Amino acid sequence: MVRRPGLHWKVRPYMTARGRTGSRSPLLIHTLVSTGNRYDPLLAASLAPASRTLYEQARRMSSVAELSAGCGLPLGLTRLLIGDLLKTGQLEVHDPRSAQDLALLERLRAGLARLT
Amino acid sequence: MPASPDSPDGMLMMTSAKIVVAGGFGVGKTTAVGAISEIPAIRTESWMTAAAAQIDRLDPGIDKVTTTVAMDFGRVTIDDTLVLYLFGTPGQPRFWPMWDDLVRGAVGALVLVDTNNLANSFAAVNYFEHDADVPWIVVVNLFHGVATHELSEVREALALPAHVPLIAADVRDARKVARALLAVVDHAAKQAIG
Repeated sequence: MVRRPGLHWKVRPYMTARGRTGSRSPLLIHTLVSTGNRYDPLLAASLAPASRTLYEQARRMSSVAELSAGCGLPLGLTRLLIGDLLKTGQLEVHDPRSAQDLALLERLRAGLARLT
Repeated sequence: MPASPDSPDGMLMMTSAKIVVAGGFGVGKTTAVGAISEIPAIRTESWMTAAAAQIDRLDPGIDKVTTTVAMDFGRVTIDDTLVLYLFGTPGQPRFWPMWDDLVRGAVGALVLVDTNNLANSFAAVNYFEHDADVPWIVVVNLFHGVATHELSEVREALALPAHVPLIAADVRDARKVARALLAVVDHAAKQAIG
């Protein structure tokens, strides 16, 4: 079994998730999440280890996938714990633009063109 | 829309977009993502639950069958408030249920093929043709920068519909990868306009 820094190797993901398997808000893997300017060290100290790792990591705006990798937590569990922190307003989400948004596509074009 | 509306707390409103890099095992997905990503391609693990019998049982005491799936991703800063994420699909067919999750909300997808092993990418082509609804293009990976087949031959061999763009690129080269991603965005824009 792979050791994950955010999760004791003997603690299986469903234990940390307290049996829950689904998150209410569908978080995409590229959705950006951050603590905004509400980071609270006292709150951080009160969180369970995996959530605390997530919360600390989210001080720097990161995608769900980056948080999963950075915290060493499986993607599904990462989503679930982020969902909990969102519900209590401890994290904020920066919703991705609709992929069909022409303004978004134009910005992508311009940005990528600079790299060609 | 102006590019950067300020949020109430004064922070710039960051947003993100995603392009999926798909293809069979060993076609160069990780190379492509790593070539253009401004961070080293990150390998993350995702847990998948499936009833499929061929998947490894991690714990004999549990009936639910789980497996760890690794996928690579990278990021490209597009402008002050927009980040593009690239996600490489797990190559093995048994991980396909995860593709739906990867593809959800994507601007589009790029299916990499290796002309020396076209069959390796049949399944990915098939997935985007029938099971996904994102714009997609096919990119022939020019291993060592050399084209071994005409694109028209590749199109025929893959039975690729005429509306799916087909290009060739050496994905070790960041600029070529950028060009390929640009082709995805152009194709997506065409489809968005209708």
